Amino acid sequence: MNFTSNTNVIPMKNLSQPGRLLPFVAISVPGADLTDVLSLTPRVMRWDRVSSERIWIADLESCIGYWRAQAQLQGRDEISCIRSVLERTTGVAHQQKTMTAVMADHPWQAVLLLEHMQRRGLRGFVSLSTPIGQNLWREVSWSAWEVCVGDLSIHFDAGTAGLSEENMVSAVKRQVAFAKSLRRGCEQLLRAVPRLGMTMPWQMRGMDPLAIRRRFGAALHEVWTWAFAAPELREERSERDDSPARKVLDGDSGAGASSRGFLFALPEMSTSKAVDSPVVGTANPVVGTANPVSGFGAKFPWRGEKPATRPEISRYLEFPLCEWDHMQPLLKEDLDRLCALDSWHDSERVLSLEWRLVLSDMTILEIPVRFRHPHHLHAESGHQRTALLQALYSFQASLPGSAMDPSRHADMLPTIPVTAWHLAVAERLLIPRQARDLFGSSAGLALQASVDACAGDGSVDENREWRWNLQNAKLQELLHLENRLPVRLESWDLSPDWHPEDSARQVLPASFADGSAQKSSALKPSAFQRFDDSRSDAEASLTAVARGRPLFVYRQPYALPKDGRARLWRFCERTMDKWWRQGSPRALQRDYYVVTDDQERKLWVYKDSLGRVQIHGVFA
Amino acid sequence: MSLSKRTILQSYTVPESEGTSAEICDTTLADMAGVGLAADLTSTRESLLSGISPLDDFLGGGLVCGTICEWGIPFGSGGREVVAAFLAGVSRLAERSSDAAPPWILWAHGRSGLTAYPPAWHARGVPLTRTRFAEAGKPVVDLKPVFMDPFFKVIVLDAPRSLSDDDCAFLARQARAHGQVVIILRDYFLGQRRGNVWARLRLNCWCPDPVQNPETVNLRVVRGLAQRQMQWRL
Repeated sequence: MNFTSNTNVIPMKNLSQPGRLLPFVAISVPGADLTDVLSLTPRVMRWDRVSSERIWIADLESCIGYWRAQAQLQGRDEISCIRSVLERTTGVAHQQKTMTAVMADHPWQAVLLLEHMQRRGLRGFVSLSTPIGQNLWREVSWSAWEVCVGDLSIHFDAGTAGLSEENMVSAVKRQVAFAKSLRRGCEQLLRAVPRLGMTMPWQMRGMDPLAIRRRFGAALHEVWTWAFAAPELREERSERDDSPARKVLDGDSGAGASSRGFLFALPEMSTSKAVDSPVVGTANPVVGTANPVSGFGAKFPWRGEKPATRPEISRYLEFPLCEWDHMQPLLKEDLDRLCALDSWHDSERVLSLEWRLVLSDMTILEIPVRFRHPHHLHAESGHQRTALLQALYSFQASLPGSAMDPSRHADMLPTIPVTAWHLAVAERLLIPRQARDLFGSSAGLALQASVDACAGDGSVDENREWRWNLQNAKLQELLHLENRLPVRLESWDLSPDWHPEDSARQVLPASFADGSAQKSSALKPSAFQRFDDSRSDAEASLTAVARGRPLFVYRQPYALPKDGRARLWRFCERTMDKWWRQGSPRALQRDYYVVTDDQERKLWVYKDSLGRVQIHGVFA
Repeated sequence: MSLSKRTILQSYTVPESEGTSAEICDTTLADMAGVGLAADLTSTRESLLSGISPLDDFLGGGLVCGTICEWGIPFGSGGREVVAAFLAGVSRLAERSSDAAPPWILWAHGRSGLTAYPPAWHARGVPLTRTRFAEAGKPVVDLKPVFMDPFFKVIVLDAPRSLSDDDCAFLARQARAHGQVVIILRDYFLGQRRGNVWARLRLNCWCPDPVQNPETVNLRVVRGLAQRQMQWRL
């Protein structure tokens, strides 16, 4: 095989594709501080490097819906929106063209590509989802790989700072062993590279993962997975994440409810531990070291940075309280007090609050109060309806024997009263000063951006401002509503694919795709104007096929009972199965039938080429 | 399902419209008068139309906004296709009202393990961009902020596991206050005494012969309008 040619020719029409929004951004700006990056997301990591200036890694997943909504309001694609925020916050660096930023599926990919760009002297913002980003990714050299692996080892050594002594011993042992294994594996790999004829790390993508593990060790296999299997890991992560917190926030009651394409990073829900003093509790290793990439890279040394000041208030109750109804007015008061703190500005949005209850038996119960979208706490001063609802949902889920738990039996489950609590803003989003208008809101500038985006196409619409305001109001309403619900509202979009499981994708919670608005010329962003004919044809084909498919399908098809009395088999369609997928059965095709079972239910079943009959859907 | 003794078997065929054929049968003369009366009563209020004239006429001008409508549709009978036809008609509701954009739809179901198949909804004309799905076994508990807010104009509660009389009273009050259409789908047949007393309309929907003629759906009014029955081909 010839590995010398690594550069693809990019069709001109592909150059204008905006690309997808990916969850991690690595940013290198001379002189940038944490505040600049916190305007993108509250989850930020500082990545120190041996050879050059440090970079910042931002995890956008917790507020990806917010940015998607902002992009739609501004009438531009999501990547342009992120880029414009970065340009505003790093104004001088942007003007001097010294900023380099990379958007990728995994922080390791972002770090590697950033290193490569800086070696080539490239500046600007590149997303791995664009053709240009993919081409650059293919060109990443072995020397950049080696340097980044060295930087990674440094972070493993420093990754235990902040842990308690007890946890640190085991963590240090694990991480030192991992770092050693990684260095050894990398040395072996670099020795083997000339023999294997691989000139670029990208050529490793097709290698057998088990072979990598066997030859170069588990650590290098892990790093290889971060680099070349990050999207698959994200899917696995979304399917695997069924933590109690997620169930609370998403209303997940089924195994597969966290379905395709939805990502929402949530650390552990609550921990309870005994302390010597009711107030001074020990440092919280769970919250302090929450690893947002733990789902698809448990060994990635993520260390979240925190702002210097953290808005926090405490309350010592005069009387121990058990019931939510008694706590609610006091908690509302505390939320208002939080808004009045100097360290908590009106322009900031909260993503999660940390509510630590001190029980009468000196136990601390930590209840994270999380919001689906960045929430404006100041806007609800006086009633704090949204925050109180989310606090109630978390309270219900955290206290199995609480008064709010419907399964509680008062005689059997005594409730331990609460004697004090501490309320702190755990994660917040800073709206940069440059993104605010005279009144401290970002709405005016978003409207201006929308007008600017539409000005290029020469379209004139007298009702533009009115329609923008209408859309903005509806969007805000939807976001507020979603923030108040304990269950997730699913939003779907078509995905042109012949396979029934892949023919729809779930849109992120805040997605607000107003078809009527997109079709209008006034609000039509340039990205939407480039209508892809092939996608249109595929969607038309999918729609035609879907007329004969049921409204509901099972998340996990199951076998048709053999002892059942199926009376009618009517052939519907034949489709290919994706047999090459890892873990899927080696069936080549599926024949779909409508079957009426002994309960007179019309089922949508398929018979694969292995002869198995599976119930896939139901004509409800 | 046996027909009422007072029913005079009479049928006539309605001309096909947009690839759909409908046939009204088993209709009494009194029922025909009832249709007119119901249409008069509801003409002053906004209603949700399916766009299929025989179906809309059968229900006396569609589903009236601000009310609850309860459907008895055994799971797997295909009757939810009829409800989907009404959801596809939300854009017409916007055309007739002063709103610039079509209203929002919420479909909440109480079955774990089951999920909506969006291409099928899209193929039946339901606007996916304006539709949200939720899994909520106890809709009044899980979705209470939704009922307190007029954002969603059409709310479908598909086979709720828990819905008490008090919940139904709350839903009726909120629907009236916000002008919402709340559709409750039950997995069993409703009767004169079996059903939600707060529902303005009570219907049963079923497939009479799933083996020989699986595409045909019967619709029968139980309460709210004069009793009548309609046969509709999907």
